Amino acid sequence: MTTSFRKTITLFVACVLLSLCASSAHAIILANTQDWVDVYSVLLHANQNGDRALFATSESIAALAKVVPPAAQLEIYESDSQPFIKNIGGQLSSAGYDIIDEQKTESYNLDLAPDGVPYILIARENFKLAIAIGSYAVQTGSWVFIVDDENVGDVVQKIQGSPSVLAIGNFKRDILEQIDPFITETTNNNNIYLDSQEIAKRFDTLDNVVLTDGSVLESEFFTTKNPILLSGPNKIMDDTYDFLQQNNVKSVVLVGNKLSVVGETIRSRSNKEISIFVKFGQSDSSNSGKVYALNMFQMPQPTLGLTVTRAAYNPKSKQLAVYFNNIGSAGLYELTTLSINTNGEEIATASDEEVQFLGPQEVLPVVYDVTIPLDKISDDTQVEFYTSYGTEPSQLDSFLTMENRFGPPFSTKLEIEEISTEGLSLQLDDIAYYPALKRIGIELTNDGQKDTYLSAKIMRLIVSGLEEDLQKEGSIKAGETKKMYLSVELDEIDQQENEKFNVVITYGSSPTAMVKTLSLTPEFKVETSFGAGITAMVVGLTGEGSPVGAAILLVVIVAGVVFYLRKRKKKS
Amino acid sequence: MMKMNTKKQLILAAVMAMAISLASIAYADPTGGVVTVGASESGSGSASGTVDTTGGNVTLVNVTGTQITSNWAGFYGFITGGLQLADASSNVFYQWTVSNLTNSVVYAANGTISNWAGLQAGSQALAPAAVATSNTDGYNNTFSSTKAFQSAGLGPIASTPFTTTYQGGSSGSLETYSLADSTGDVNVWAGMAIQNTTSFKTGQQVDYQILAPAASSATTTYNFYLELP
Repeated sequence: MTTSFRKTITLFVACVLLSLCASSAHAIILANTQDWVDVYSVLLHANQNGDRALFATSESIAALAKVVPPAAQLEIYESDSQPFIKNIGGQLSSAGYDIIDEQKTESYNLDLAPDGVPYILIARENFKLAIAIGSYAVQTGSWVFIVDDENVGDVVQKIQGSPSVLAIGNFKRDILEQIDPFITETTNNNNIYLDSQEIAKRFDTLDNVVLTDGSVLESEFFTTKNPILLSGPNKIMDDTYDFLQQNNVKSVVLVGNKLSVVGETIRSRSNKEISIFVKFGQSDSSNSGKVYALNMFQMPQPTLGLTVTRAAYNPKSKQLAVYFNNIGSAGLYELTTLSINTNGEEIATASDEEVQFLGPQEVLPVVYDVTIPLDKISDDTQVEFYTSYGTEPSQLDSFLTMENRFGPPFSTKLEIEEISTEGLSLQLDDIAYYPALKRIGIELTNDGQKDTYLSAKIMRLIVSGLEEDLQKEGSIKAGETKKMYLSVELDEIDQQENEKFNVVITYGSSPTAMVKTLSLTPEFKVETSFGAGITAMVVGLTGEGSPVGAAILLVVIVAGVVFYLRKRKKKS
Repeated sequence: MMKMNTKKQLILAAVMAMAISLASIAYADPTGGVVTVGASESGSGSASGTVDTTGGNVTLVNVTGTQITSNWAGFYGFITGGLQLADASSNVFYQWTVSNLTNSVVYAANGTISNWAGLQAGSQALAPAAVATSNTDGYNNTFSSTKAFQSAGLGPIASTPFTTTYQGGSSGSLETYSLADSTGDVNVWAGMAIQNTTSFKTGQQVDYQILAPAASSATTTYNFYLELP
């Protein structure tokens, strides 16, 4: 055999081996969808099969091209109805990528679900818990169904007969009724932070944990072998910190650099015994030395925002009125401890006795009884707020901070103002649930001498099996009786389970001076009488207690009576 | 023999310094020794809570034509930085809250680290194949020194191979340590951070410089972690 022939054979064998290696290499799975449930499902599926997964987060492939290696083979999982990038396969092919497969479907959560594995059920609203269960699902080979009204029937088809179905967190009643017969185990503390801790306890070791605020999906939640705990965006819950201490956690990985303030808090509170690693970047695909931000999919959470617009002290009444403003899109609860300082010297303190609820965009004056020495008040006097807030009374997971600061306190100047409450008085006459209206009606009388602005709230009402808060603003002229309606649909079991109405009405002479409060807990009542039916018709025609609606109804009734009488006269 | 080894190490050090400043290094044709400074790039802030991105500048230095190694890549910059992935619509740039980064460590890992306390010293046996050679730019010739690795929360990990990258055109004090996870499957390259220190390029500052093997397969990328001091 000649040397050149030997070389040719060697080269040929090498080429064959190389091509075999290339074709057997794992492809990268790429999710192209705007639905977080699809992204979640593709990440879970990929990691359970040992594949790497990426996802689109905008309408351009430019971002993907920076982190997807040029020699990568890609399998595209695209949403049928809501892809992020149109014609992604064509665009990536034009950019030189090798697309080896493309799939389209409406629901990867259903279509990728394997048969005969343990299942985990989580309500769609509990997306943070879905993140917390990610690594556990990968480690145990469990499939996570994200359940909602539309897919519950399909989910039931998949899980029935399974020997292992774990339900985590709360579900609306109508969904729970359908899945309950198939659930073999439940984790539900009515608190997502405690739920995530219970999931963590299923791991063999708690030396290392991952911490997230649940606001984004990132690959670490599926590639890590460690449990995932939930945290607030800028505050670590006491429960969570206690869990770290009690279980002797040695290191915590925070995903995303915006959680570094949480990391510093843990580091400080643990006296640097707990190591903190903040995952903040990824390399690009061409080894250029650039470090890019992480590829993160934003979860569809409501915008939460709280600020304090004023803090005004009334020396006569010895009351401090603090105007909290919910600048977000969802209701929230807050709990405050405040300190009044002049040039660094604390001159008075006050705090909430219980959490306060603010509806979206509501400005709520909260009044504190506090004596501030007038001789110590100056232009430099500040009110410092240590305020926690969140979407549930027991889960106040965020600190109120100054803009571009990451921790408390929030400060504002102390104002002096006498707010008169003379001549202001409201009486609650009646409150009932009207099933025909799908509303709660509150009847109020302004028995004071001044026109009154008010915010009416019904707290912790059971709706579809879960507690909710309702809020509505309005006004009543002096001497007037008025009915306000708050929209809510209560099923028959809700009507049985609600024993009382927790009513809180704040009111005052102007929308920015609602400093008086009326708190009552009347018995829960359902109104189904004929009178309620008429009311339903009136309200249904044009709105709440509208005189136009009443007039129309009257005309209809009169016309009906006249028609009947004339017909009767003709007969006779 | 000693003189030969020293000469080799000096050549290697010079080559490594140039390797750090690579852009599309592996794809440059060898010509002369011209260094071109590329455009400065900075992440743009968005939404509330995002401020001052000047700390996030990473300047790309293209070394065109100088013969270089394609097996090593340098990662460098400010820890306060984090470039957005091209488009501004969905990736948000956040300001860090860590006030002083000195004594922090930046880790570049080619996989997920599940047990940080279990990190071990790296070695040629555990290094990626492309650099696990006896070549001039092989692992042992690059990470030729050893000492105990210690960070705020880890170590000491005895006899950890390390190398020192250039600063301001000469040998500096920014060290990169070679580590691996307890299984040996994940390589971890740890750069000791020094806040606002001179980079490999005179007149330019960085918080860290890390030397790590270039991506050796179609799927290798690095995740970056900062260990708080």
